[in-house]
Amino acid sequence: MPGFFDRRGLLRPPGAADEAELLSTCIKCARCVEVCPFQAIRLGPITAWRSYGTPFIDPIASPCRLCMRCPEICPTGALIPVAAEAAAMGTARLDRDRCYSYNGIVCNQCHRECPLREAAIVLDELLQPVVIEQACVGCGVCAHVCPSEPRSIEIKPRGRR
Amino acid sequence: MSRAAITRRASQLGILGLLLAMPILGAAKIEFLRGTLCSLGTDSLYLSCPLGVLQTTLASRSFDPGLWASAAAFLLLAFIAGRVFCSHLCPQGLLSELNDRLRRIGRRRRGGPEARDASEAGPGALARVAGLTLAALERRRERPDSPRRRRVGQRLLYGTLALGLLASFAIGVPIFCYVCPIGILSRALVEATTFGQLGGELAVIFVILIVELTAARRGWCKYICPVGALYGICSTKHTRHLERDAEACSGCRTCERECSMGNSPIQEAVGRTCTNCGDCIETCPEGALALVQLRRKRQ
Repeated sequence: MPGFFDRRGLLRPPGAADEAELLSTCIKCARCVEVCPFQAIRLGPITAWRSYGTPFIDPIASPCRLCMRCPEICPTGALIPVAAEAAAMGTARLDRDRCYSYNGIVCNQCHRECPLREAAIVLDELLQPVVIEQACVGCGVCAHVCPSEPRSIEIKPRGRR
Repeated sequence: MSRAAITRRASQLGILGLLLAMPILGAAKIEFLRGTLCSLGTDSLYLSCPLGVLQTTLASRSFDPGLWASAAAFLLLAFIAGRVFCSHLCPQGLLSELNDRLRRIGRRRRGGPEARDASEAGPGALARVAGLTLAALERRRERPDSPRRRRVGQRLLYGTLALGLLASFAIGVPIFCYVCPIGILSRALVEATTFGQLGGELAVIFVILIVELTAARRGWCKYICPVGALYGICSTKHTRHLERDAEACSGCRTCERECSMGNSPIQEAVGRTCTNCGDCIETCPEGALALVQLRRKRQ
Protein backbone atom coordinates (compact mmCIF):
# COMPACT_ATOMS: atom_id res chain seq x y z
CA MET A 1 0.00 0.00 0.00
CA PRO A 2 1.26 3.46 -0.78
CA GLY A 3 2.22 5.57 2.16
CA PHE A 4 3.58 8.94 3.08
CA PHE A 5 7.03 7.50 3.56
CA ASP A 6 7.03 5.55 0.33
CA ARG A 7 9.72 7.54 -1.43
CA ARG A 8 9.18 5.82 -4.75
CA GLY A 9 5.80 7.46 -5.13
CA LEU A 10 2.74 5.95 -6.76
CA LEU A 11 2.45 4.38 -10.16
CA ARG A 12 0.08 6.84 -11.82
CA PRO A 13 -2.36 5.95 -14.62
CA PRO A 14 -1.21 6.49 -18.23
CA GLY A 15 -1.01 10.08 -19.39
CA ALA A 16 -0.83 11.46 -15.85
CA ALA A 17 0.40 15.02 -15.62
CA ASP A 18 3.56 15.44 -13.56
CA GLU A 19 3.07 14.83 -9.85
CA ALA A 20 2.57 18.44 -8.72
CA GLU A 21 0.21 19.15 -11.63
CA LEU A 22 -1.76 15.98 -10.94
CA LEU A 23 -2.15 16.81 -7.26
CA SER A 24 -3.30 20.33 -8.08
CA THR A 25 -5.86 19.32 -10.70
CA CYS A 26 -7.29 15.99 -9.53
CA ILE A 27 -10.70 16.53 -7.91
CA LYS A 28 -10.92 12.86 -6.86
CA CYS A 29 -14.05 12.28 -8.93
CA ALA A 30 -13.24 8.59 -9.56
CA ARG A 31 -14.27 8.71 -13.22
CA CYS A 32 -11.01 6.99 -14.16
CA VAL A 33 -11.73 4.24 -11.62
CA GLU A 34 -15.12 3.63 -13.15
CA VAL A 35 -14.00 3.69 -16.76
CA CYS A 36 -11.09 1.26 -16.30
CA PRO A 37 -12.22 -2.08 -17.80
CA PHE A 38 -9.65 -3.96 -15.70
CA GLN A 39 -10.29 -2.39 -12.30
CA ALA A 40 -6.63 -1.44 -12.38
CA ILE A 41 -7.06 2.11 -11.13
CA ARG A 42 -7.56 2.58 -7.42
CA LEU A 43 -7.75 5.71 -5.33
CA GLY A 44 -5.11 6.49 -2.74
CA PRO A 45 -6.18 5.52 0.79
CA ILE A 46 -5.95 8.02 3.64
CA THR A 47 -2.48 6.67 4.48
CA ALA A 48 -1.31 8.11 1.15
CA TRP A 49 -1.74 11.62 2.62
CA ARG A 50 -1.40 14.11 -0.20
CA SER A 51 -2.23 11.41 -2.69
CA TYR A 52 -5.45 10.47 -0.88
CA GLY A 53 -8.24 9.96 -3.39
CA THR A 54 -5.94 10.34 -6.39
CA PRO A 55 -5.58 7.49 -8.88
CA PHE A 56 -2.80 4.92 -8.82
CA ILE A 57 -2.19 1.45 -10.17
CA ASP A 58 -0.97 -1.57 -8.26
CA PRO A 59 0.42 -3.64 -11.15
CA ILE A 60 0.71 -6.80 -9.06
CA ALA A 61 -3.05 -6.77 -8.43
CA SER A 62 -4.09 -5.50 -11.86
CA PRO A 63 -1.72 -3.82 -14.31
CA CYS A 64 -2.54 -1.18 -16.90
CA ARG A 65 -3.33 -2.66 -20.34
CA LEU A 66 -2.80 0.71 -22.02
CA CYS A 67 -6.36 0.91 -23.37
CA MET A 68 -6.06 4.66 -22.73
CA ARG A 69 -9.68 5.16 -21.72
CA CYS A 70 -8.91 6.95 -18.43
CA PRO A 71 -7.17 10.05 -19.82
CA GLU A 72 -10.10 10.48 -22.21
CA ILE A 73 -12.60 10.70 -19.36
CA CYS A 74 -10.62 12.83 -16.90
CA PRO A 75 -12.46 16.16 -16.65
CA THR A 76 -9.69 18.27 -15.16
CA GLY A 77 -6.60 17.38 -17.17
CA ALA A 78 -4.96 15.48 -14.33
CA LEU A 79 -4.71 12.69 -16.90
CA ILE A 80 -3.92 13.92 -20.39
CA PRO A 81 -4.85 11.92 -23.51
CA VAL A 82 -1.68 10.55 -25.12
CA ALA A 83 -0.73 7.61 -27.35
CA ALA A 84 -0.09 4.34 -25.49
CA GLU A 85 3.61 4.55 -26.38
CA ALA A 86 3.81 7.91 -24.60
CA ALA A 87 1.99 6.85 -21.42
CA ALA A 88 5.17 7.45 -19.33
CA MET A 89 3.99 5.83 -16.10
CA GLY A 90 7.32 4.43 -15.04
CA THR A 91 9.95 1.93 -16.07
CA ALA A 92 10.30 -1.83 -15.62
CA ARG A 93 13.42 -3.02 -13.80
CA LEU A 94 14.57 -6.57 -14.42
CA ASP A 95 16.58 -8.43 -11.78
CA ARG A 96 18.73 -10.89 -13.70
CA ASP A 97 19.67 -12.83 -10.58
CA ARG A 98 16.07 -13.85 -10.04
CA CYS A 99 14.80 -14.04 -13.64
CA TYR A 100 14.21 -17.64 -14.77
CA SER A 101 15.37 -16.92 -18.31
CA TYR A 102 18.76 -15.77 -17.03
CA ASN A 103 19.03 -18.84 -14.82
CA GLY A 104 18.55 -21.74 -17.15
CA ILE A 105 14.78 -21.93 -17.44
CA VAL A 106 13.12 -20.53 -20.59
CA CYS A 107 10.22 -18.39 -19.39
CA ASN A 108 9.87 -15.07 -21.19
CA GLN A 109 6.34 -14.49 -19.88
CA CYS A 110 7.12 -10.77 -19.64
CA HIS A 111 8.12 -10.59 -23.28
CA ARG A 112 5.06 -12.53 -24.41
CA GLU A 113 2.58 -10.38 -22.50
CA CYS A 114 4.14 -6.93 -22.92
CA PRO A 115 1.68 -4.60 -24.74
CA LEU A 116 4.71 -2.94 -26.38
CA ARG A 117 6.48 -6.21 -27.21
CA GLU A 118 9.59 -5.86 -29.37
CA ALA A 119 9.77 -2.20 -28.38
CA ALA A 120 9.81 -2.16 -24.58
CA ILE A 121 10.93 -5.74 -24.01
CA VAL A 122 13.06 -7.62 -26.55
CA LEU A 123 14.79 -10.98 -26.44
CA ASP A 124 18.55 -11.06 -26.88
CA GLU A 125 20.40 -13.73 -28.86
CA LEU A 126 20.22 -16.10 -25.86
CA LEU A 127 16.40 -15.57 -25.72
CA GLN A 128 16.69 -13.63 -22.47
CA PRO A 129 14.38 -10.63 -21.93
CA VAL A 130 15.86 -7.15 -22.00
CA VAL A 131 13.94 -4.03 -21.03
CA ILE A 132 14.43 -1.09 -23.35
CA GLU A 133 14.04 1.77 -20.90
CA GLN A 134 13.43 4.44 -23.53
CA ALA A 135 10.38 2.56 -24.87
CA CYS A 136 9.01 1.04 -21.65
CA VAL A 137 6.05 3.04 -20.28
CA GLY A 138 5.76 1.10 -17.01
CA CYS A 139 2.30 -0.39 -17.52
CA GLY A 140 3.26 -3.25 -15.21
CA VAL A 141 1.92 -6.21 -17.21
CA CYS A 142 5.39 -7.83 -17.04
CA ALA A 143 5.48 -7.51 -13.25
CA HIS A 144 1.95 -8.91 -13.07
CA VAL A 145 2.75 -12.05 -15.06
CA CYS A 146 6.27 -12.71 -13.74
CA PRO A 147 6.16 -16.20 -12.22
CA SER A 148 9.34 -16.04 -10.13
CA GLU A 149 9.09 -15.69 -6.39
CA PRO A 150 9.93 -12.99 -5.46
CA ARG A 151 9.17 -11.30 -8.77
CA SER A 152 12.20 -10.57 -10.87
CA ILE A 153 10.66 -7.57 -12.61
CA GLU A 154 9.25 -4.54 -10.87
CA ILE A 155 8.04 -1.11 -11.90
CA LYS A 156 9.77 2.04 -10.82
CA PRO A 157 7.20 4.85 -10.99
CA ARG A 158 8.34 7.83 -12.98
CA GLY A 159 9.32 11.04 -11.24
CA ARG A 160 10.52 10.51 -7.70
CA ARG A 161 13.10 7.84 -6.97
CA MET B 1 -46.24 13.40 1.89
CA SER B 2 -46.81 15.96 -0.76
CA ARG B 3 -45.67 15.55 -4.32
CA ALA B 4 -42.76 17.93 -3.77
CA ALA B 5 -41.56 15.94 -0.76
CA ILE B 6 -41.79 12.66 -2.67
CA THR B 7 -39.90 14.16 -5.61
CA ARG B 8 -37.20 15.35 -3.26
CA ARG B 9 -36.70 11.98 -1.56
CA ALA B 10 -36.81 10.23 -4.92
CA SER B 11 -34.14 12.59 -6.21
CA GLN B 12 -31.90 12.05 -3.16
CA LEU B 13 -32.25 8.26 -3.30
CA GLY B 14 -32.04 8.26 -7.10
CA ILE B 15 -28.56 9.83 -6.96
CA LEU B 16 -27.42 7.17 -4.47
CA GLY B 17 -28.86 4.48 -6.74
CA LEU B 18 -27.15 5.99 -9.75
CA LEU B 19 -23.77 6.10 -7.99
CA LEU B 20 -24.20 2.46 -6.97
CA ALA B 21 -25.43 1.37 -10.40
CA MET B 22 -22.73 2.99 -12.52
CA PRO B 23 -19.82 0.70 -11.55
CA ILE B 24 -22.09 -2.37 -11.75
CA LEU B 25 -23.30 -1.43 -15.24
CA GLY B 26 -19.72 -0.61 -16.16
CA ALA B 27 -18.56 -4.06 -15.05
CA ALA B 28 -21.32 -5.55 -17.23
CA LYS B 29 -19.86 -3.53 -20.15
CA ILE B 30 -22.93 -1.32 -20.36
CA GLU B 31 -21.83 2.18 -21.23
CA PHE B 32 -23.71 4.71 -19.19
CA LEU B 33 -22.94 7.78 -17.18
CA ARG B 34 -19.68 7.72 -15.29
CA GLY B 35 -18.35 9.52 -12.28
CA THR B 36 -19.43 10.83 -8.92
CA LEU B 37 -21.03 14.06 -7.77
CA CYS B 38 -17.59 15.62 -8.23
CA SER B 39 -17.90 15.06 -11.98
CA LEU B 40 -20.66 13.11 -13.64
CA GLY B 41 -21.60 12.35 -17.22
CA THR B 42 -20.52 10.71 -20.43
CA ASP B 43 -17.05 10.92 -21.99
CA SER B 44 -17.67 14.28 -23.59
CA LEU B 45 -20.69 15.71 -21.80
CA TYR B 46 -20.45 16.03 -18.04
CA LEU B 47 -21.22 18.14 -15.03
CA SER B 48 -18.54 19.03 -12.50
CA CYS B 49 -18.57 20.31 -8.96
CA PRO B 50 -18.06 24.08 -9.21
CA LEU B 51 -16.07 24.19 -5.97
CA GLY B 52 -13.75 21.44 -7.22
CA VAL B 53 -13.30 23.33 -10.47
CA LEU B 54 -12.71 26.64 -8.67
CA GLN B 55 -10.13 24.99 -6.40
CA THR B 56 -8.20 23.28 -9.19
CA THR B 57 -8.24 26.52 -11.15
CA LEU B 58 -6.61 28.25 -8.18
CA ALA B 59 -4.33 25.35 -7.27
CA SER B 60 -2.98 24.77 -10.78
CA ARG B 61 -3.19 28.47 -11.64
CA SER B 62 -4.60 27.66 -15.04
CA PHE B 63 -8.01 28.32 -16.56
CA ASP B 64 -9.72 25.49 -18.43
CA PRO B 65 -12.83 26.80 -20.28
CA GLY B 66 -14.16 23.29 -20.96
CA LEU B 67 -13.95 22.43 -17.30
CA TRP B 68 -15.73 25.62 -16.30
CA ALA B 69 -18.45 24.90 -18.86
CA SER B 70 -19.02 21.58 -17.09
CA ALA B 71 -19.36 23.42 -13.77
CA ALA B 72 -21.75 26.02 -15.19
CA ALA B 73 -24.81 23.77 -15.00
CA PHE B 74 -24.64 23.42 -11.21
CA LEU B 75 -24.01 27.16 -10.82
CA LEU B 76 -26.92 27.98 -13.11
CA LEU B 77 -29.14 25.62 -11.13
CA ALA B 78 -28.17 27.43 -7.93
CA PHE B 79 -28.82 30.79 -9.58
CA ILE B 80 -32.31 29.76 -10.72
CA ALA B 81 -33.49 27.38 -8.02
CA GLY B 82 -31.31 28.20 -5.00
CA ARG B 83 -29.43 25.65 -2.91
CA VAL B 84 -31.46 22.73 -4.28
CA PHE B 85 -28.24 20.75 -4.70
CA CYS B 86 -28.16 20.53 -0.89
CA SER B 87 -31.77 19.43 -0.53
CA HIS B 88 -32.21 17.26 -3.63
CA LEU B 89 -28.84 15.79 -4.60
CA CYS B 90 -26.29 15.93 -1.80
CA PRO B 91 -25.80 12.49 -0.19
CA GLN B 92 -24.43 14.11 2.97
CA GLY B 93 -27.55 16.25 3.06
CA LEU B 94 -29.70 13.12 2.98
CA LEU B 95 -27.72 11.49 5.81
CA SER B 96 -27.83 14.73 7.75
CA GLU B 97 -31.60 14.93 7.38
CA LEU B 98 -32.17 11.31 8.35
CA ASN B 99 -29.86 11.92 11.29
CA ASP B 100 -32.09 14.81 12.26
CA ARG B 101 -35.15 12.55 11.98
CA LEU B 102 -33.41 10.10 14.31
CA ARG B 103 -33.27 12.84 16.90
CA ARG B 104 -36.94 13.46 16.37
CA ILE B 105 -37.81 9.80 17.00
CA GLY B 106 -35.89 10.06 20.26
CA ARG B 107 -38.01 13.04 21.19
CA ARG B 108 -41.24 11.18 20.53
CA ARG B 109 -40.13 8.31 22.78
CA ARG B 110 -39.47 10.66 25.64
CA GLY B 111 -42.85 12.26 25.30
CA GLY B 112 -41.49 15.19 23.43
CA PRO B 113 -41.54 18.88 24.13
CA GLU B 114 -45.24 18.96 23.37
CA ALA B 115 -45.99 16.65 26.29
CA ARG B 116 -43.30 17.68 28.67
CA ASP B 117 -45.07 16.66 31.84
CA ALA B 118 -42.50 15.27 34.29
CA SER B 119 -44.62 12.19 34.93
CA GLU B 120 -44.12 11.12 31.32
CA ALA B 121 -40.36 11.24 31.54
CA GLY B 122 -40.09 7.84 33.19
CA PRO B 123 -40.59 6.07 36.50
CA GLY B 124 -37.40 6.77 38.47
CA ALA B 125 -36.35 10.25 39.59
CA LEU B 126 -33.07 9.94 37.69
CA ALA B 127 -34.83 8.99 34.50
CA ARG B 128 -37.20 11.88 35.06
CA VAL B 129 -34.33 14.35 35.38
CA ALA B 130 -32.59 12.86 32.34
CA GLY B 131 -35.79 12.97 30.36
CA LEU B 132 -36.42 16.58 31.28
CA THR B 133 -32.85 17.58 30.45
CA LEU B 134 -33.06 15.93 27.05
CA ALA B 135 -36.43 17.48 26.41
CA ALA B 136 -35.01 20.88 27.34
CA LEU B 137 -32.06 20.35 25.02
CA GLU B 138 -34.48 19.34 22.30
CA ARG B 139 -36.52 22.48 22.75
CA ARG B 140 -33.43 24.61 22.67
CA ARG B 141 -32.26 22.91 19.55
CA GLU B 142 -35.55 23.30 17.78
CA ARG B 143 -35.42 27.03 18.08
CA PRO B 144 -34.28 28.83 14.98
CA ASP B 145 -30.82 30.34 15.09
CA SER B 146 -30.72 33.65 16.94
CA PRO B 147 -29.64 36.68 14.87
CA ARG B 148 -26.23 36.54 16.56
CA ARG B 149 -25.81 32.83 15.89
CA ARG B 150 -26.91 33.40 12.32
CA ARG B 151 -24.35 36.15 11.89
CA VAL B 152 -21.51 34.12 13.41
CA GLY B 153 -22.64 31.10 11.39
CA GLN B 154 -22.50 33.01 8.14
CA ARG B 155 -19.05 34.34 8.97
CA LEU B 156 -17.86 30.82 9.72
CA LEU B 157 -19.43 29.48 6.53
CA TYR B 158 -17.96 32.05 4.17
CA GLY B 159 -14.73 32.21 6.18
CA THR B 160 -14.24 28.49 5.65
CA LEU B 161 -14.87 28.92 1.93
CA ALA B 162 -12.45 31.82 1.63
CA LEU B 163 -9.79 30.09 3.71
CA GLY B 164 -10.18 26.89 1.67
CA LEU B 165 -9.77 28.75 -1.61
CA LEU B 166 -6.80 30.69 -0.29
CA ALA B 167 -5.17 27.48 0.97
CA SER B 168 -5.80 25.75 -2.37
CA PHE B 169 -4.02 28.58 -4.13
CA ALA B 170 -1.16 28.66 -1.64
CA ILE B 171 -0.54 24.93 -1.28
CA GLY B 172 -1.38 23.99 -4.85
CA VAL B 173 -3.90 21.23 -4.13
CA PRO B 174 -7.71 21.41 -4.03
CA ILE B 175 -7.65 21.26 -0.25
CA PHE B 176 -11.35 20.89 0.46
CA CYS B 177 -11.66 17.81 -1.79
CA TYR B 178 -9.60 15.92 0.82
CA VAL B 179 -12.33 16.20 3.46
CA CYS B 180 -15.46 16.82 1.37
CA PRO B 181 -18.17 14.45 2.65
CA ILE B 182 -19.96 14.60 -0.72
CA GLY B 183 -16.83 13.28 -2.44
CA ILE B 184 -16.10 10.80 0.33
CA LEU B 185 -19.61 9.33 0.16
CA SER B 186 -19.67 9.29 -3.66
CA ARG B 187 -16.31 7.57 -3.84
CA ALA B 188 -17.25 5.14 -1.09
CA LEU B 189 -20.22 3.99 -3.18
CA VAL B 190 -18.05 3.57 -6.27
CA GLU B 191 -15.22 1.82 -4.43
CA ALA B 192 -17.61 -0.41 -2.49
CA THR B 193 -19.26 -1.69 -5.66
CA THR B 194 -16.00 -1.90 -7.64
CA PHE B 195 -13.60 -3.36 -5.09
CA GLY B 196 -15.88 -4.37 -2.21
CA GLN B 197 -14.02 -2.29 0.34
CA LEU B 198 -14.50 0.91 2.29
CA GLY B 199 -11.85 3.37 3.37
CA GLY B 200 -11.08 4.98 6.71
CA GLU B 201 -12.11 8.41 5.43
CA LEU B 202 -15.73 7.49 6.20
CA ALA B 203 -14.85 8.44 9.78
CA VAL B 204 -15.32 12.06 8.65
CA ILE B 205 -18.98 11.28 7.91
CA PHE B 206 -19.52 9.70 11.32
CA VAL B 207 -17.91 12.59 13.15
CA ILE B 208 -20.13 15.06 11.27
CA LEU B 209 -23.26 13.05 12.02
CA ILE B 210 -22.43 12.66 15.71
CA VAL B 211 -21.72 16.38 16.11
CA GLU B 212 -24.91 17.24 14.25
CA LEU B 213 -26.90 14.88 16.45
CA THR B 214 -25.53 16.14 19.74
CA ALA B 215 -24.17 19.67 19.40
CA ALA B 216 -25.23 21.61 16.33
CA ARG B 217 -28.30 20.67 14.35
CA ARG B 218 -27.20 20.32 10.69
CA GLY B 219 -24.02 22.07 11.81
CA TRP B 220 -21.88 20.99 8.85
CA CYS B 221 -24.41 22.14 6.25
CA LYS B 222 -25.19 25.36 8.09
CA TYR B 223 -21.82 26.55 9.31
CA ILE B 224 -19.04 24.78 7.38
CA CYS B 225 -19.81 23.23 4.00
CA PRO B 226 -18.07 25.34 1.32
CA VAL B 227 -20.02 23.62 -1.47
CA GLY B 228 -23.27 24.84 0.05
CA ALA B 229 -21.68 28.22 0.72
CA LEU B 230 -20.75 28.57 -2.93
CA TYR B 231 -24.29 27.71 -4.01
CA GLY B 232 -25.57 30.17 -1.40
CA ILE B 233 -23.51 32.96 -2.97
CA CYS B 234 -25.16 32.23 -6.32
CA SER B 235 -28.60 33.23 -5.11
CA THR B 236 -29.83 36.69 -5.99
CA LYS B 237 -33.20 38.37 -5.70
CA HIS B 238 -34.26 36.52 -8.85
CA THR B 239 -33.53 33.13 -7.32
CA ARG B 240 -36.37 30.86 -6.23
CA HIS B 241 -36.97 31.51 -2.57
CA LEU B 242 -39.42 31.05 0.28
CA GLU B 243 -42.19 33.56 0.87
CA ARG B 244 -44.79 33.81 3.60
CA ASP B 245 -48.32 34.99 3.11
CA ALA B 246 -48.65 37.19 6.22
CA GLU B 247 -52.43 37.22 6.07
CA ALA B 248 -52.80 33.45 5.97
CA CYS B 249 -50.14 32.85 8.64
CA SER B 250 -51.57 32.12 12.08
CA GLY B 251 -48.24 32.53 13.84
CA CYS B 252 -48.08 28.97 15.16
CA ARG B 253 -44.30 28.69 14.59
CA THR B 254 -44.51 25.12 13.32
CA CYS B 255 -42.26 26.10 10.40
CA GLU B 256 -39.54 27.30 12.77
CA ARG B 257 -39.41 23.95 14.52
CA GLU B 258 -39.46 22.06 11.24
CA CYS B 259 -36.56 23.90 9.63
CA SER B 260 -33.42 21.88 10.32
CA MET B 261 -31.26 24.66 8.89
CA GLY B 262 -32.18 27.10 11.64
CA ASN B 263 -34.23 29.49 9.55
CA SER B 264 -37.41 31.13 10.71
CA PRO B 265 -39.92 31.69 7.92
CA ILE B 266 -42.31 33.28 10.37
CA GLN B 267 -39.87 36.01 11.37
CA GLU B 268 -39.03 36.52 7.71
CA ALA B 269 -35.54 35.42 8.72
CA VAL B 270 -34.68 33.02 5.94
CA GLY B 271 -31.05 33.37 5.03
CA ARG B 272 -28.75 31.83 2.51
CA THR B 273 -28.75 28.62 4.51
CA CYS B 274 -32.25 27.88 3.14
CA THR B 275 -31.96 24.96 0.73
CA ASN B 276 -35.48 25.33 -0.69
CA CYS B 277 -36.25 21.87 0.65
CA GLY B 278 -39.90 22.77 1.24
CA ASP B 279 -40.25 21.01 4.60
CA CYS B 280 -41.74 24.14 6.17
CA ILE B 281 -44.24 24.49 3.32
CA GLU B 282 -45.30 20.91 3.89
CA THR B 283 -45.72 21.34 7.61
CA CYS B 284 -47.54 24.69 7.60
CA PRO B 285 -51.14 24.08 8.70
CA GLU B 286 -52.35 27.26 7.03
CA GLY B 287 -50.60 26.79 3.72
CA ALA B 288 -49.09 30.23 4.16
CA LEU B 289 -45.65 29.40 2.76
CA ALA B 290 -44.59 28.96 -0.83
CA LEU B 291 -41.50 28.93 -3.00
CA VAL B 292 -41.64 31.71 -5.53
CA GLN B 293 -39.34 32.61 -8.38
CA LEU B 294 -39.82 36.35 -8.45
CA ARG B 295 -40.18 38.60 -5.45
CA ARG B 296 -43.75 39.56 -4.82
CA LYS B 297 -44.55 43.25 -4.81
CA ARG B 298 -45.14 44.44 -1.29
CA GLN B 299 -47.83 46.97 -0.56
